[in-house]
Amino acid sequence: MKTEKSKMTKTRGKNRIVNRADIILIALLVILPLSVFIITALTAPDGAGVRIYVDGELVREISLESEGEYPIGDGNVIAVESGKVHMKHADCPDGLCMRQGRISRTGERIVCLPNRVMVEIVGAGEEVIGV
Amino acid sequence: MRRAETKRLTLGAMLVALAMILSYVESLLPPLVAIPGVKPGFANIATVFVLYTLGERYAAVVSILRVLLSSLLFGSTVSLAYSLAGAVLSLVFMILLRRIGIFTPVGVSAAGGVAHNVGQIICAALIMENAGLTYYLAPLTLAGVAAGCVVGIAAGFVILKMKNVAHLTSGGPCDGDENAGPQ
Repeated sequence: MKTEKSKMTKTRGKNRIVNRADIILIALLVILPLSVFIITALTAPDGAGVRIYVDGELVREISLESEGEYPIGDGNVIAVESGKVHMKHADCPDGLCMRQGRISRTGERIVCLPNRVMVEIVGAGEEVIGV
Repeated sequence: MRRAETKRLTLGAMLVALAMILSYVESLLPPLVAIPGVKPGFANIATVFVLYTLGERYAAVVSILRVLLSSLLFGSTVSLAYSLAGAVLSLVFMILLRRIGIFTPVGVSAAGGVAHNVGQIICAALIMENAGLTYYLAPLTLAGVAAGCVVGIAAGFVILKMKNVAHLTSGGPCDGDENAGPQ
């Protein structure tokens, strides 16, 4: 995209597609969230447990050490494997939650919007095993 | 004068139809990334075009009508809430940035794309009653910039080309383009 842009900037007069103000704005919009994202991702410690929310309510909490598959409601199944959590099964139409990968760091989440399910990794000390 | 208004109205209606087709075609495409809400947003080409040719009022009407009609036809009530929140926030930011006057449609549209996704996250956080969705703020902001740039470049070219057929957006040779200029 960069070469495309610089080529267009050379178009003379007022008929240019992109100007300098645009590029500064776009750069800011890219750099700001990216740096926040990188900093939070790098500083997050490994999690200890996983909290499961349905409709915004905490329904269950599982330690990352207790391996296995856990159903959430009727539509979703999460799996805990070697300290990581992923969405094993979901009946939602898009199935995006199953493609969100394995999570293990504090604060990482998997969200299934159609089923209103959210799975979040929590750190040590936040656990209340047995909810 | 009445003729000019009729022309604007017709063009606006056509662009609502075009925007609906674009969002329908987009809904047929498989999701690009595994994050809910990441879409190219081609329908915004129509919104940006209207913003620069017919003015702010028309842009608001076209964008919101498009969201209402396509959610009614192809979506659900929940998707309507997300789309509406995104569309409104995106409109507000695009109108403000265009008024500043230093940005081209690409910059305006990139900010609009970000605002759209931020609006959706706020709406999702409210619906799911969990602020935890802000975790997706960074990836969705980046996706918004990328989508907004693509949309802005497309809209920018269309706006440039359409300057040569100015009679489409102004009423006629002797009719001023009072609503479309910078305000």
